[in-house]
Amino acid sequence: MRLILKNQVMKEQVLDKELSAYLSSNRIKIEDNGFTENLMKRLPPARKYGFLIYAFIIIGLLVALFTPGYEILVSQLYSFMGSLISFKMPSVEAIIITVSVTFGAILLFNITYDEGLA
Amino acid sequence: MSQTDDLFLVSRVILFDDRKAFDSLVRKYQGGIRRFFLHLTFGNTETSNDLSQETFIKAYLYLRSFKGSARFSTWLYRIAYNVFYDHKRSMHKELPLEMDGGKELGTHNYGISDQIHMNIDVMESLKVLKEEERIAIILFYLEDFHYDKISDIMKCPVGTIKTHLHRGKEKLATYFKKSGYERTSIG
Repeated sequence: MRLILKNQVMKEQVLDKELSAYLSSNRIKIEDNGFTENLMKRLPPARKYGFLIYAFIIIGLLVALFTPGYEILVSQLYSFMGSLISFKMPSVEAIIITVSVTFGAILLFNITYDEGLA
Repeated sequence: MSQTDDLFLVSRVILFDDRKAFDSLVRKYQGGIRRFFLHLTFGNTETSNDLSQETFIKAYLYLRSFKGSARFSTWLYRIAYNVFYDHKRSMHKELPLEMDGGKELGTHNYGISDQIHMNIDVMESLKVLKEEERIAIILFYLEDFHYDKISDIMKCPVGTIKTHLHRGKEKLATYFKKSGYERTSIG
């Protein structure tokens, strides 16, 4: 009984490998050939948000520079780095600020990179 | 591009309606989605391209409902699966899709007709399968999804997916054996 089951499993594994090899070798590779471009034209009109992102960045930077915000930001980033160097748990504020700044920087880099500015 | 990149692009589309980010997602997944529909329609390029476009437009419109816990590809194929069934329902009174495969290639075939002619054996072999078996086989062997992801896409238990795959494999082996494909050693 065990031998029959073993044979069954082996047969299944062989079939699996052969089918996989056959279908993979016959897999169609589909090039874009204008599909994406055509699709993008069919999307609903874009919301004009681009200028808002840059407006908020500039406003945010100005507010931070002329208020204690800038100092708080820098001190929390230093505090985060200091905690890591001394193997201590950073404060919640430091973690939130560091994560926000990192995420914002990556987001900004991605947008400017896509637009060919970076 | 990894899953993290996908999440990043998705968040850009949701937050800023960033078309370039959506463009990148479409370019990444168009090949797989179009191939999925191409196999489901037995090589009908016009229908498969239309269904692919519908899938991506729906994905764009409902992107906010995407939960980061699932993979973006799984979520996208789930939409494609639903789009296919909606299309089937709308075509119910007309010719079944099995009869639709031999239709003339459409004007918007984006240069894939030659490859389909080369791939006619695979298209023909898929006709011996029941629809659920065919979808499971396509997702497993041609789109490289694992059981649990196929289960998420088809919204049925993993055990059922394994049954579909097992039956599908048996039928394909018999088909290839009958068609004289011993040289590929299948069956």
